[in-house]
Amino acid sequence: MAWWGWVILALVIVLVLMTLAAVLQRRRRRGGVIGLSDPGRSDSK
Amino acid sequence: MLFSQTRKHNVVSTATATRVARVDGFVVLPGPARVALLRLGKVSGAGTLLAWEDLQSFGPDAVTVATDTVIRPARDTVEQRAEDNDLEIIGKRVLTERGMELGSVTDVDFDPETGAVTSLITKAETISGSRLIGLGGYAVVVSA
Amino acid sequence: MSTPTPMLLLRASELTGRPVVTLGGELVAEIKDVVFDRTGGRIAGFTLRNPGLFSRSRKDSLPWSGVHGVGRDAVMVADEAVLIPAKELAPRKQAHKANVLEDRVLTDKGRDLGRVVDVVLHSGRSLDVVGYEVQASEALGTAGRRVFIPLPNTMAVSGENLIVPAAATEFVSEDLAGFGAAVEAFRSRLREGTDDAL
Repeated sequence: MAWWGWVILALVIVLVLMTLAAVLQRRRRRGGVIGLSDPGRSDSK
Repeated sequence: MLFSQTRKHNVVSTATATRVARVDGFVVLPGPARVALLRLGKVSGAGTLLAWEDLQSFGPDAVTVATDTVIRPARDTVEQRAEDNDLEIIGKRVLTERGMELGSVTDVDFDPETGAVTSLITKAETISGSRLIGLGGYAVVVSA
Repeated sequence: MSTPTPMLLLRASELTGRPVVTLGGELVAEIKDVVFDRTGGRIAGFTLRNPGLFSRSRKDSLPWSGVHGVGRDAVMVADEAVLIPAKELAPRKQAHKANVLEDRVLTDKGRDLGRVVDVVLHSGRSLDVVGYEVQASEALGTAGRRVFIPLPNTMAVSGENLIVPAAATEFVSEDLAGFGAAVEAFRSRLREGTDDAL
C-alpha cells in the first residue's frame, strides 16, 4: 500500500474511535430516574 | 465609586512619594460585603496583595499607602485563591440562593471610605451589596 | 398537598447536568440521576457526577434534606457537608434496576399505555413526581406521540411495573403547560369517587 493509504486508514480508525467514544459518552451522560420502593410496599392488585 | 473607574490606578507610597504598584483587581468577601484586599500588579517584591486596613486612603485618582512594605503575599487559602485570580468578581455569574442566574457581574459599586460594597451591577440589574451571601470560584451567590 | 397555587412543573431530565453549587459559590458536582420514593412520589435526592465532558459518577450523593433550593440554573446546597454516601441514598444494586425510564406503564385494568421517556416533577415546598411522559401506545388515541399521564398522590407501585389507575387515561395531556391542571383534576377525581375504577 502507498503511504497515503496508511494515512487514510489511520484517519478512518481515529474517526470510528471518536464516534464510538461520543456515542458511549452520550449514553453515559443521560441521567436516570430511580424509583425506590420501600421494603414494606404493597403490590396493587 | 466603581471598580471600573479605579482599575489601573497607581498605588503611591507617601513615605517615598513614588509609585509602588498598580491596582489590578479587587477581592470582595461576603458577610458583610466588602473589599477585603486589592490585587496589585507592577510590584517590586514578591507579594501582590494589599489589605484594605493597610490603605492610607482610596482617592479618586490614586491609592496611597504609608510604605510599600504593607504589600504582602497570601496568608491563607482564601487569599491564595484571590491572588490566583480564582475569586475575581468581575465577569462571574450571579446565582440566587434559589438557583436562578441573574447574569454576570459587570461592575461593582463600593464606598471608598470604608470599602463596603454597596451594589453589584449586571447587565440587567443592580443588586444591593447586602444581598451577597457567598463568592466562590464558580459563582456569586445572592439572597433571593 | 393540593394548594390552589399554579403548579410549577419540570421534567426530571431537565435536572440532569444541572450544577450543584454551595452558598459559598463553589461548584460541587452535577446532578446525574433523580431518586424518588415510589410510595409517596417524593424526591429522595440526587446522585451526582463530576462536572465536565468526560465526567465520572461520584460516590457521594445529595439527599433532599440537604437541598437549599432547586432553580432553573442550579441546585443550591449550604455546603459540601450535606452530601452523603451514594449507597445510603440508593444502594447501587437497587438503583441499577429501579430506573423507570424505558419502563412500560400499565393501567390497573391491564392496558399498556406506552414507554416512559421522562418523569414530570412538581416543584413546591418539596419536589414530587406527579406524572410520566410516555411514548404513547395504541391504547391511547395519540399513538406514537409523547403524552403526559398523571399519577395519584399516593401510589402503590410494585418494583417491576408502573401501574396507574385506569381513570388516568381520561386526564392525559399533550403539553406540559396544560398538565398541571390535569393532575389536579385527576387527583380530585380520585379523592371524590375512589370506587369508580372498580
